Amino acid sequence: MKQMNQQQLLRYIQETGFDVIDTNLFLDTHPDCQEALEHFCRVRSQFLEARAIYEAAYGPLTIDNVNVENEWTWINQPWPWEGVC
Amino acid sequence: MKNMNSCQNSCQGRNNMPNCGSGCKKPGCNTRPSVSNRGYGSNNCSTRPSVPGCGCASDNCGTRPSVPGCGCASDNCSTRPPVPGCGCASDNCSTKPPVPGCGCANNSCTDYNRCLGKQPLGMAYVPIQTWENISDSCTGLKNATIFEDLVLPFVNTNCPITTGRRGY
Repeated sequence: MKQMNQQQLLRYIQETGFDVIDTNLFLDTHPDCQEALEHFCRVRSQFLEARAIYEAAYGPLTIDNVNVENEWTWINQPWPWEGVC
Repeated sequence: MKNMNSCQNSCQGRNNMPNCGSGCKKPGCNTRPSVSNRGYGSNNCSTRPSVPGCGCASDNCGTRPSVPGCGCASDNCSTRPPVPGCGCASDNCSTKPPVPGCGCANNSCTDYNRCLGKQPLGMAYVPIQTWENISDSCTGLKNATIFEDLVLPFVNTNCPITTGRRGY
């Protein structure tokens, strides 16, 4: 995961993030399914780890993770329409 | 050992639904066909097919298909598909999609909607999903589902209601 470039990392976050949501929907109707619970835990860990690596290197992906210690860093990264990633 | 029981369908043993659409309204129907809203057929039809809603067919249809609700089809349909409730389709539907119960569609989805009213009522059934055939995250994002069993793209969708179906 740490060898991925920015684009690969963002793609990985999208993939695992979608997996988390789809498993979430299954668990809503199968709350006791142990296999689904294990899958959710595993994929969520992958998602959170990838997001932490990405945000440490390239800045926050969502506003709830923005760093506000010294300045408003949300605007430091390219905007989506600037086509960087 | 993983607990699989909770992933299984919990509906087993509960699928015996009462049949609400058949049966005799009055005693004595067992030898004569019941005719909706009209009482009973004139006799027990012997060799002739019972026609729901009409009593008995005019004859035993010979080589022609029995048409529920209409007696016998006008011929044996030869190359044309038999149409339940309507005899035979007007042609073999070559370029047009067959419409269940109504022959061929005129390349229009409205035909199916018009004819749908001729179909009997039914019960929808959706099985409870089980945790199986899970794809990896990359494939899941491409398919818009992590469940391989739900990868069911529409095909032949120029007229989704009449000809669209899911699956490969």
